[in-house]
Amino acid sequence: MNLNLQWTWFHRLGSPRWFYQKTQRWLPWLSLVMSVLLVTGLVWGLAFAPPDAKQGNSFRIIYVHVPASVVALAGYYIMAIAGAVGLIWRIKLAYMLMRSAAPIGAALTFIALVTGAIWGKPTWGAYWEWDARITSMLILLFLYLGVMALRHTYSSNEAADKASAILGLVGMVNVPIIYKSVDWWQTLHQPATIKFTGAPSMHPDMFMPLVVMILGFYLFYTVSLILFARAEILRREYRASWVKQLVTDNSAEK
Amino acid sequence: MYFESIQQLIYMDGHGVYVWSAFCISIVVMVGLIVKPLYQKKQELKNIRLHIRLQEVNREAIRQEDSNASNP
Amino acid sequence: MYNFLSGGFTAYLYRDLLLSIRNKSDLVKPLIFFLLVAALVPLAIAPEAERLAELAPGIIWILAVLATLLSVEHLFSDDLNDGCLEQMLISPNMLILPILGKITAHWLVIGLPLTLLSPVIGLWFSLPSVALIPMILSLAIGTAVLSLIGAVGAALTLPRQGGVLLALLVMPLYMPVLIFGSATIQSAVDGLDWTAPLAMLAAFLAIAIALCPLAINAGLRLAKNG
Repeated sequence: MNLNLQWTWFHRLGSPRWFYQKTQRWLPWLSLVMSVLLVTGLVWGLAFAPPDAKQGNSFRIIYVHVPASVVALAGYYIMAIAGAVGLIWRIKLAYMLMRSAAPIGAALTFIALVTGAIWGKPTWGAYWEWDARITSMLILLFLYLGVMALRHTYSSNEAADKASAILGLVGMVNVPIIYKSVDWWQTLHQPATIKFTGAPSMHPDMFMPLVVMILGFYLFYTVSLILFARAEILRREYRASWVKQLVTDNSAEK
Repeated sequence: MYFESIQQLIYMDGHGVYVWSAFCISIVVMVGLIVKPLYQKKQELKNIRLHIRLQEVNREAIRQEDSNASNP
Repeated sequence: MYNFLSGGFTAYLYRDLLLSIRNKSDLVKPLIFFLLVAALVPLAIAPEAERLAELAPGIIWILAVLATLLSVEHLFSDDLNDGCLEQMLISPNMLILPILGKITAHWLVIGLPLTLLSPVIGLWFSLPSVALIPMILSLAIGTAVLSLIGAVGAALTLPRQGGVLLALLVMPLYMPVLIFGSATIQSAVDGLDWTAPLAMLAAFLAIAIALCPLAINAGLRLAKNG
């Protein structure tokens, strides 16, 4: 009896239709909170926070660079775990979320790299410096691009999903190895770079807007993921009756 | 506010170029990450509507053929 | 009683070795590539011994990566084309054994000769003799890891081959191996402890032997059934 109910809950969770309908109601709220956090963080960080003693005002780039990096890295794990869920329990929705997560993660990694490079110029005098963080971010970008590119090798959605999920898992195992290796490689060569002020040692006036921005970026990721997933659901489930109903309702309203 | 005027905010003691270009690029990409899926969804809805119409037209055509065949 | 050696490992090892020996050109091409590109470096950069010696550890390792990438693409495609892959998939043996057998054959044919040729490259780049043993050891272990990881890429891109995707998939995974491989040689040159990075390479090998066959297994079944 109990098992039956638990199984229904689990399967309902994996239903694209349930996801589509639920997110319809959640999106406005999520977007609102996201916007509030992002705007607050931006204004606070750009205009109100004090500049760094050594780096001056270019330090403010941290308020996009660090959140983008953090969420880009977390996003890879989200993508890989979604793929794993899809592989293990054969839940289509998990694969759709994995598909949606890839371009978002790649774009955020791109933002992290570009803002990191721009930050580098006034700080170290060069747009590019092979430090541990930038190098790891670059490798992360290639990992994302690989997952995105692999889809075209397979003609069926199902096979492409499985292959991308496998690749995502292989990458996930590798991400900590890559990060540690690059870190170690850096200490080996010890270039004269200025270290970013570590988070705990940052003054709270500088740290708080960063926290707000990181939260805002996580919410942004969620909103974007939901939006991409909804489009993907429509693309794949176009034959389902609930989709047809949805479309005819839409046109009736018009 | 840390800065004394809007002009100071934009100039940021010479670092303004870097800070504002970084933020602008980020905002453009992030807006893209919201707009693109919304646009995709609209396209998908359009395609589905087309698909439904085509199915109906097909069904109509088959019905016509059947009635023509049974009433020569 | 289940015998590791009778499960298909040696069978596929011998089979692939035989195929490679009969196809001598496949054997030799990556090695010639290795030597050719190595010869390009002094032409492109500088003939001075000190500069070359500085670059040597990195260049040798990049060459090893490129040579492995070139050769690993065809690991499974021939079997797909002539139907042997299906045989492997429906056999009662665990697929892991034929996979490991094929990869070992690949290493014996590509990685090992590369390792044995490397002293020549070391000579060309005026690598100090103290770095000779570390270089050979790092390449011996490292190319095995490269073969294993490359095979994962080959299995996942099996339906549509065409070099670049394989490279894109596999390069990020190669980077830690590259880092520690060249660090082994560089540490030896600098007079530091080179067994530490070498131990990391050995650890990578252990992880790769354990995990790569699983991914390859899944990829091959996908290519056949997908």
